[in-house]
Amino acid sequence: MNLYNNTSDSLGILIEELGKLPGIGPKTAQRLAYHIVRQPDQTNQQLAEAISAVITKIIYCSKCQNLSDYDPCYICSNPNRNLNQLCVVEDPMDVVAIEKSNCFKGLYHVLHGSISPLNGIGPEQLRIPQLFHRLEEENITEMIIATNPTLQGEATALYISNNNKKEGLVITHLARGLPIGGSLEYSDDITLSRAFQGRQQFTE
Amino acid sequence: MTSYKTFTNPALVLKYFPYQEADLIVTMLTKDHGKVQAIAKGARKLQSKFSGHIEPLTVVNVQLAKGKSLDTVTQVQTDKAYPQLYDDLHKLAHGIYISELIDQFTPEREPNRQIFEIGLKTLDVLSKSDSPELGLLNFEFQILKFSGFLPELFNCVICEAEIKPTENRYSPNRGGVVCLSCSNSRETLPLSLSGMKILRHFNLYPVAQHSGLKIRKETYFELKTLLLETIIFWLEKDLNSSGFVEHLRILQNTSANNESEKDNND
Repeated sequence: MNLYNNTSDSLGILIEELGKLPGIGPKTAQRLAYHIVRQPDQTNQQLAEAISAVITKIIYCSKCQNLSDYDPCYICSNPNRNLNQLCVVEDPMDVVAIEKSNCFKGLYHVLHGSISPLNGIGPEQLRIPQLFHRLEEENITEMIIATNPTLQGEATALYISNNNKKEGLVITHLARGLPIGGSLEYSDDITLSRAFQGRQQFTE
Repeated sequence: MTSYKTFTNPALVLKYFPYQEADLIVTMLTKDHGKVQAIAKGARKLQSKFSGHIEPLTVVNVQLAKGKSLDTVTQVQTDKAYPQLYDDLHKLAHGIYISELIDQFTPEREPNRQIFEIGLKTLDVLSKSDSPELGLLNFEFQILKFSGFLPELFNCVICEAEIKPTENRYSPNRGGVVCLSCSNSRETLPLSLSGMKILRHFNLYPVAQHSGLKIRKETYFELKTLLLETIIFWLEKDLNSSGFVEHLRILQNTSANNESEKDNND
């Protein structure tokens, strides 16, 4: 039983607020709250300042719609990026994953979700109008759709590709196939058939 | 309610939502155990053995183990996938609409083999056919029928008189056809003779291919409105995915109009 279930108590408030975070249950919230209380004041101050800075400083980049301290963000304002390639992703975390892989040097556009008709999320709830506006305004020659290979991700990719009005734009999507370390035995039919379709010649 | 420790059954995956770090909570319609919710542990990891098998609109062979509150997916293998749905946005949207209808009309753990069969049959028609309109209307009709809401097609739902082979009205709220002499109520919708014939055909042949049937555009929209209104009346709420299907239809019409205007100008 949580001894600090009194929400007027400062520790109780902290436990309740931590418990609202994704993946944090009441027990973990209690453990984290006690951990914070036992930390030196300076460490806690840094944590509080970091949270406060996120609230006050984070904005959406007016170009790529990613979360950033500055507008335009550090990727959009970097002159060394390839300004002709645009990679469309669902979430800001996808940008982090692609940047970590160091395989893409173009620009991004973050949709902040995917079309999910079952949950009533349509194209107008995402940053899709901003994407089409951007395609008109900027000198983009290739749009790489990097939505997740799920039902919602595929619906989003098809919607963007079907409704693109920019003539001459090359639209590509990421290859479908087997993950490194995966097993053919456990692969599903669609992944296997797409892997066969996208097979490549060995190069030396 | 069935009692089991584990069971293996064919199932149609209807939807899922993420749970904790890498798990999924999956809703599926099993053939013999009705609609079931189960947790698939680690399914969101790229190298999970479940990865790719648990996708909506996929027929799987699933093994479930009974859990305290939710069952756990222990094994799953794709039995039938519909890759054509993933290549066409309109087909995909209709597929999502079918899965939402099944999810809304089926209570948990109540087996309904007819809905399972007609769901699979309709997805088959949707993925293979270029004009799946009749198959989709038939599915809407059958889900009402097999959920216990079969529309009355032979007698007036107000005066009980036999319906004459002419243009009539239909009342979603009263669940059937209204004869012309009772149709002054504002809550009724038009039902043409050809529309009525198609509904009666659906009633007689639930899983037929309907290959001999042809439907005019006006009749399709008449029946579409009528069945959707009936569905909304019984569910007592709107369907989320029908808005998206409608949005796509409007976009398609707009672009078709623009193209024909362009052709005329040329």
